[in-house]
Amino acid sequence: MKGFRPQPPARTGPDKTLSSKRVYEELRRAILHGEFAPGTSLGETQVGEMLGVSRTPVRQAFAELLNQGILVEGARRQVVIADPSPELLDEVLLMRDALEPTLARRAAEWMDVSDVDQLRLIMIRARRAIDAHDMDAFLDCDDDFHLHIPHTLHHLLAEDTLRRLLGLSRLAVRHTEWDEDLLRRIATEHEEIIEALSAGDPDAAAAAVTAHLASSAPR
Amino acid sequence: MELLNRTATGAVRRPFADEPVDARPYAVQMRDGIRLATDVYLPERGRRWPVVLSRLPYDKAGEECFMPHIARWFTARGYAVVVQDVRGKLRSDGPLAPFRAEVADGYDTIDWITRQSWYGGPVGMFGDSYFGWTQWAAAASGHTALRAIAPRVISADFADLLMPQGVFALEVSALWAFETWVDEALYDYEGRLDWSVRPLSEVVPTALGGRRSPFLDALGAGRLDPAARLPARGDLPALHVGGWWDIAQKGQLGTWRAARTGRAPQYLIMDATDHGWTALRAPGEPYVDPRTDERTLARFLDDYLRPVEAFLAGHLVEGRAYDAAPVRWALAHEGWREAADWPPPEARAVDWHLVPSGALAPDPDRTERTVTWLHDPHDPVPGRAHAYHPLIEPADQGPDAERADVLTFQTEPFRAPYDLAGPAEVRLRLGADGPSAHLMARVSDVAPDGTALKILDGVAGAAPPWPAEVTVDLGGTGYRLRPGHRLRLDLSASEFPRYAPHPGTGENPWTARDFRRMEQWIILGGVRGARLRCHTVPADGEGA
Repeated sequence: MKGFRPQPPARTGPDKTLSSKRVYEELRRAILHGEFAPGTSLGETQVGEMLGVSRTPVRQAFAELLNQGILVEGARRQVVIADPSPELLDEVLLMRDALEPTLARRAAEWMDVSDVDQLRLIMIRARRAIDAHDMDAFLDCDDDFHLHIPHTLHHLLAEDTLRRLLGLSRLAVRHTEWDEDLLRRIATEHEEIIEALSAGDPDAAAAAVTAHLASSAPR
Repeated sequence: MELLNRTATGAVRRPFADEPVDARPYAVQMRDGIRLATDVYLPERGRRWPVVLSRLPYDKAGEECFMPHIARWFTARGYAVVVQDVRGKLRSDGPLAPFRAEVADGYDTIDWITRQSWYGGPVGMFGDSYFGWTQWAAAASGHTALRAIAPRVISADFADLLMPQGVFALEVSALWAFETWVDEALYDYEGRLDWSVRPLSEVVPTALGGRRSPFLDALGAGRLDPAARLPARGDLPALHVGGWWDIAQKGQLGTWRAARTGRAPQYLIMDATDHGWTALRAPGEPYVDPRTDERTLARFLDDYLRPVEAFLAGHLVEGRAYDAAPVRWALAHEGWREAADWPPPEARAVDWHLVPSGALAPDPDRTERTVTWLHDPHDPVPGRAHAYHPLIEPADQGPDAERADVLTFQTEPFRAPYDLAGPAEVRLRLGADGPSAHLMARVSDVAPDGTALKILDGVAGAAPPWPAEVTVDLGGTGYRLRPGHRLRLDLSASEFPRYAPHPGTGENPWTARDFRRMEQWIILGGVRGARLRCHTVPADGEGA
């Protein structure tokens, strides 16, 4: 019941315009969503065929994912999906504890209504993902939520660092069991962070983030 | 790797569009605490502006309705633009609530707008179809900041589209529900439904792997939410924009007429277009998607939005006046006309009588005869036109005449241009050997090569005592039949899947599992014989 043609005319053949950024995003998403078995090695040709693109953007995406630690070089120089060690994950938590409360403190002074509302919109999606039992969609929202804070501050270095940390966390949780109570608790804690940011209260925002990291970080 | 998000049976869930960089997203809180995803676009210069608002279920940032482009078009002309996903759709919270929430949500959204630092006021609304209807909903809320609306291709009363004259508009209802009213996402519907599934209530769930649309189930059972049936408020200035090939045109003309009894001006523009913005093209002229490239899109936006902006400016912007004819209408194949009323005051009613030889004649046969045909619900008359966009690839209705269950009547070829301008209807007496019956009527233009283009159509349900007096409302048109062309009327008992076929029993077609063939008959000739009534205006050069 609408004014417009339902969808643009279908493209024929593979999408040659898929940029290396899109290939990177698509590949990162697939890896973090657990669409490859642990230890799978990836080939440029194979991934290029899956995405219908040439090897060049795939090679660039591999380089970026290697840089982020999501892929590692295997013994025979092939590219393998990383399996972060407990020590590395412990360091991830340490860095998030150091970084995120500080960012939240600054964000509470900086964020305007739209900035905070964007966090609320992420949580609408997150609550729907819980209702739909869609763990990957929920965890995507979780990443979006945490990254939105440095993004709003235009702190690109912090955003980039946090994305790297979140990627490693995601690798560790991609095959965990569905735990609805945990996800609902995470959502509630996110909403507490939103209220503190919305109130423009730096101490409350930092405290809410600290409490959230302590309570819902993967152990 | 899964690039498309498919359910087991092939329904494709469309990803939400990326947020445009020039939009500021908000989560606007409604009175019950539910937050609706809302984009604000502001002009580069100035601090406060009049506001154009649109509320839609089709993705406020999506390609399909290209609201970001529309917003930029308006901001370049000094308006703040607010675009919102309606409740339960896309990024907006709450359960799905087609119709029910739109009056209050329209009010609360306008109220939020009036509290923003950039609000210069007042508010006008714009949009097509359901986002035309949300304008009638906001108007019904009575918020005083809303000063003008410009609903396009929609009626204030959704029954006009979904249940025309009591017959369930199956195809458009099912496609719309499948696409829009399953969950927060939008689903691609083109070619996704298997219409051979019975009962018909299972067509959409089959495509959705068992999931259902509560809205569609209620509709199939004959229950359209009363909230979908709004009155047309006549004390708010409105620009009513429609198309002769639009599925909503009958209802829209009715809405315009009803609103005209109020004290605010009600302008009408009727173009030779369909429910999209596809225009009738000359034979051989290819269809061009407006999104083909930037220049095509820019030209399209100008054509589409200029009349709307002129109207809104006259009611929202100080120092801008609106001076337009009450009615502007396209005479298809000819051009634009202006009138003080619809039909144009110079239009005359003309009756074409159906005679057994298959002619549409100026005079009826003197003797009354009946013509009988067989309705077979297992082999209904196929619908040929696209449910929403019949003008993208106009169907040739010619082959319908070859079916034994389609009664066809046509005029002699016209020797001079013959201009239709105004409403049309078929009046006849219908009988059937069943507990009720359907009648479809379609008026076409038959070219000298025998191809037939649908101009108008309508449907009616009928019930005993037989013969029942039936009037099929065909809506209105402005259409030139060129020399050598004929006017043709087709009558049938079905058009599938456009309408749910009558099962031949007393069962609801939506849930029916048993089907029975049924004889139907109409009366031709004599004082109560069937006739087609239309309106004509004198063609150029013929004198008034």
